[in-house]
Amino acid sequence: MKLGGIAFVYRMVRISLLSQLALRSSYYIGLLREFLFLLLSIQLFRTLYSGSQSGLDATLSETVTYLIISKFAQFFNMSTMGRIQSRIISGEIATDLLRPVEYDFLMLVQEFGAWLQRILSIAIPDVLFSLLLVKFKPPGSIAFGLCFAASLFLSFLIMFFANYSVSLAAFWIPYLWSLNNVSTTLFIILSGAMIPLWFYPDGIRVVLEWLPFSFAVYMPINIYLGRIALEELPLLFFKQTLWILILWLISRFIWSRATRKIIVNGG
Amino acid sequence: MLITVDKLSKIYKVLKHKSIFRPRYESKVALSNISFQIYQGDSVAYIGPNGSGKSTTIKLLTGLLTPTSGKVIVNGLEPYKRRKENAMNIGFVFGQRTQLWWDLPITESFDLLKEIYKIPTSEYKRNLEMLVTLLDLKGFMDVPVRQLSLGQRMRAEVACAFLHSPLIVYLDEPTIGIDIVTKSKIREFLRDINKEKKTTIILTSHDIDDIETVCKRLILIDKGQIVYDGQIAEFIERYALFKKIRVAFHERDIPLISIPRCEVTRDEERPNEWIIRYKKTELDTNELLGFLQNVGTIRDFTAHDDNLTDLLKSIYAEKL
Repeated sequence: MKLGGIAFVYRMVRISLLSQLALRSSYYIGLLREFLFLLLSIQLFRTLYSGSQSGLDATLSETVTYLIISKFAQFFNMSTMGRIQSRIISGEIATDLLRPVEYDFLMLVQEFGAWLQRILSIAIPDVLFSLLLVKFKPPGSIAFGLCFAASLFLSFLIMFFANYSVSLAAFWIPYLWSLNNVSTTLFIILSGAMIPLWFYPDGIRVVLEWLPFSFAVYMPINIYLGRIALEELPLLFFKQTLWILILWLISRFIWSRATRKIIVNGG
Repeated sequence: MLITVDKLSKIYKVLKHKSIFRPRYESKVALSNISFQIYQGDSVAYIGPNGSGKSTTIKLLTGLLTPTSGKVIVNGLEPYKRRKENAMNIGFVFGQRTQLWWDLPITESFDLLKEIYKIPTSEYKRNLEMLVTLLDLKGFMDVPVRQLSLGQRMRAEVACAFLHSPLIVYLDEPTIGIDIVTKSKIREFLRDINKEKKTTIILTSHDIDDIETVCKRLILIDKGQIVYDGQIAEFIERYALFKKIRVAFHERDIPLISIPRCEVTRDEERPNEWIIRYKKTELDTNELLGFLQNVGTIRDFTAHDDNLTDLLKSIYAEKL
């Protein structure tokens, strides 16, 4: 990337971060809800583990660590969705089309800023909070830690293009609120963000492991926990990259359809 | 030649019969066969009543729409084929929409535009300094946009459009809902920057003062066709065929006056005052004055030719 591009990314991330910080009071309420939810789910799994000892793939501390680390991979209902949809409905998307930048890149960088903000303001407080409650596993090794970070970034890209593609549906369907809810819930279930996929029945798990969503949450955290051998990682990264490419092409296709609709027919 | 519009037509397909199985469409002609040319440094008022095809034209010029037939060339390229390249050359202000970041000070939005348009740092600094001075932005540079008044925000919006030294700036109702002082500040800025930097300005506005202050040329459009294209001064000369006089009598109880070939109305608030409008070629003012002296005792008398407001009003009403 050229130097100008980096400055652009910096500016956009900065705007995104500062905009989120402007909503301070709703942040504290959200954080409280976040802590309560974490407390509950940890308690839930404690009960589950004390009840049945046999046949579980992962230990309690792995599961709890999974839950906490998944906070770094909260890629659901991204702010991009609401933003794009409201701009399409209000017609402000027209002014975005008059900028000399690719729209998906503009949105991607903005979402990246929002993600960093969530890490700083939600994921890290969650980690600190959980230290009071449970024993928290560090990454398998420094190498696993680094690979986790790299994989997490690819996850972000996968989920960005998935969210982005869904949000472009607003060009055809004006009020997408219910579609957003359905897609967000599906993303959460299919990715294993709330319940690790190792609790799913084997048949379903195998199918889900092929879908892009498991690559967004389940796989990176398994890397963190050291549950995936280092020599399997290149293949995993390859699959993640492949999904990014596929989803990117899908979103490009939808976008070209959408802009053609506006530009030729006057939307 | 900066902009060439050649036999441009746009026909929309409008959904007529809403049916899940067999939707029926009908064609609606938004523009039919219009042509005009705009030179670098022109200041053009592009006006017409609502639904006349103004915004369709602007969308075609900016590349947001593809023509049904005909061609648009802006600075050597067809904008709807190369929208992003064209975007580098243009700036825009749409009065109803914002390009500022709501929760942040305007400087953040400016800094981002610097990167979007890849403005060299020295040019950016120079332009920013100029815009801050001319539009008087200094007092609220560090205040989040949501705390600004509409007038302050609009001045910042205008600055956004000029930061990257664009060749052309499109302004759609840039002074809507703004107080008089801010309005004239924006107008004077547009007039000056057009004169000094030769930025081509294309303005659509329902505010006649905007048009008269900023623009030299007028393109009047109605029902998708150009009704007039030329200098504003010539337009007034050619079409200001009517004269309007206001006469005040001492008597309050004069019955309805009727004068042949004149349009006579009584002022509703001041019953002793009358407004008389007539074609200059058909009636001599002296003759009229004589007639009025017979009606009552004239206390006051003012006369003026139709101005741009009157002209447009009668054109919108009768369509020339």
